[in-house]
Amino acid sequence: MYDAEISRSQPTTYLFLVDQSGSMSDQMASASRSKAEFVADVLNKTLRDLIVRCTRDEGVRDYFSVGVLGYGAAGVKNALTGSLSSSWINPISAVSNGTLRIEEREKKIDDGAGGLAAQSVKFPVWFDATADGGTPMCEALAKASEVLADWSNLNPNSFPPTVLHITDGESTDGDPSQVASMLQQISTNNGGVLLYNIHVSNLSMEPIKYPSSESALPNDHAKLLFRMSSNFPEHIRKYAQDAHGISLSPESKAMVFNAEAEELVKFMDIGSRPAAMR
Amino acid sequence: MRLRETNPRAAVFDGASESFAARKWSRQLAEAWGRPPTRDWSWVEKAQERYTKNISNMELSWAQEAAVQRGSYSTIAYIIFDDNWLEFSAVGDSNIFLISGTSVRFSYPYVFESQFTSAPTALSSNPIDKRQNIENLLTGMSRIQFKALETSHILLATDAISAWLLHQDEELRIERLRELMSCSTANDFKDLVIKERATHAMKIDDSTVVLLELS
Repeated sequence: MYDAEISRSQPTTYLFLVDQSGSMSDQMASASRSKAEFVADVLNKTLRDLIVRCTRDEGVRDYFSVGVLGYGAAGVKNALTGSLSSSWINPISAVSNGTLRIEEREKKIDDGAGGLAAQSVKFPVWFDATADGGTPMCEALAKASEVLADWSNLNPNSFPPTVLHITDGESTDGDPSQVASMLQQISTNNGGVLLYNIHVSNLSMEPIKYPSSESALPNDHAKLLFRMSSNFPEHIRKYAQDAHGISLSPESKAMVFNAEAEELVKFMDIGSRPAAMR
Repeated sequence: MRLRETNPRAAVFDGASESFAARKWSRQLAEAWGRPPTRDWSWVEKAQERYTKNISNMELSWAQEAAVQRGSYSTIAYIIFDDNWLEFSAVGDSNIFLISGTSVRFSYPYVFESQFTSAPTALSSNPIDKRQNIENLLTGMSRIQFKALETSHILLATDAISAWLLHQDEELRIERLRELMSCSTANDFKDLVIKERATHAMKIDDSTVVLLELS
């Protein structure tokens, strides 16, 4: 299980579920931006990295398809716009052509003399920050199930879909555990949908990262996210160790609670790491 | 293959599929390495220059610009004969095998199939990695008295073939080497690769070998 090679004839899919409720407008403790703005930046960077990973001299190869569902005041909506708005999931080559705009940003690089130099880099944007209304998490997970059931039927031999869910609060439309369980039961021949959950916080509390037991978690909300989260496949555990020095056991749950900026960046990098591409 | 020159040499290169222009980069490396040998590492820099020139003529999208910055990567495994000595280096997971009859006497850099699951090192197309490339080649460099091992054949192989040959089961290892050595034409080799891929015994990946028979 979770060992299917990813190729153009056998792509996998990443579905991002983004909480856009009103509380996402609160400022991150360690950054000068709101949670929604920071999440938007990290999501845009993750999409960019996925595209670059598929880019070759002849163009962008469709190893992945990608969707972004936002949930908040307007219920659940496709958070990608323009040419990408007509489909919940789009091939990565279409996503690469469907930017809202391309910004110029500064990146610090090694200047070769022991210092750092500013370099201008292109920063493509697909997704702008939004924060309004409640947290219809059950509706969002149900829409994800519907979208991924269709995708899995069309791609029965593919590496299973990965859902990266970013939220800052509790569901306002009921207990999401049952619908999360249904989502994880959708499968290809290579395993069930992987559901990764990250709870972002502005409270400067100690984050709880990838726990392997529910007993030490501080409250019911953390315990709920624990139960809603998948275990990591082996290639992800190996990548987390090699790239970030994070030691994950087979029992470690794909969840972070009370995450600050740094944890969110790492979570997205680890969660969007594909298995072998060919 | 018959090698008549002084200090005959051979190499395999394997472009990393998850990089921007792996084929172009490994080809530039192979061409630069294949020119009259120099005892320095200037061929790596020449390959980088030619690759960069080639890329700079392309019209690039934002994604391609970013992918170029990320670089292209290739493994190398080479040998150079020097009388009774065999000088060699390998960067990445392409392997060198010294064979006596039907048994592998020496395998480099990997010895076990399990080693092929690690992310391999590679030669990078980025000029900023020039020093790292040379360090990798120097780290991988060694020499061996091949005649002392009664070497009858030398095999250079990309990772798909190498991992297949280094299976943990000894009987299977011997059988696979025998099958590979019995290929006398390119079509025999192709048939073998297709057969082994079909049973998932061999990874679906670039499968290239250079087999030298010593006389």
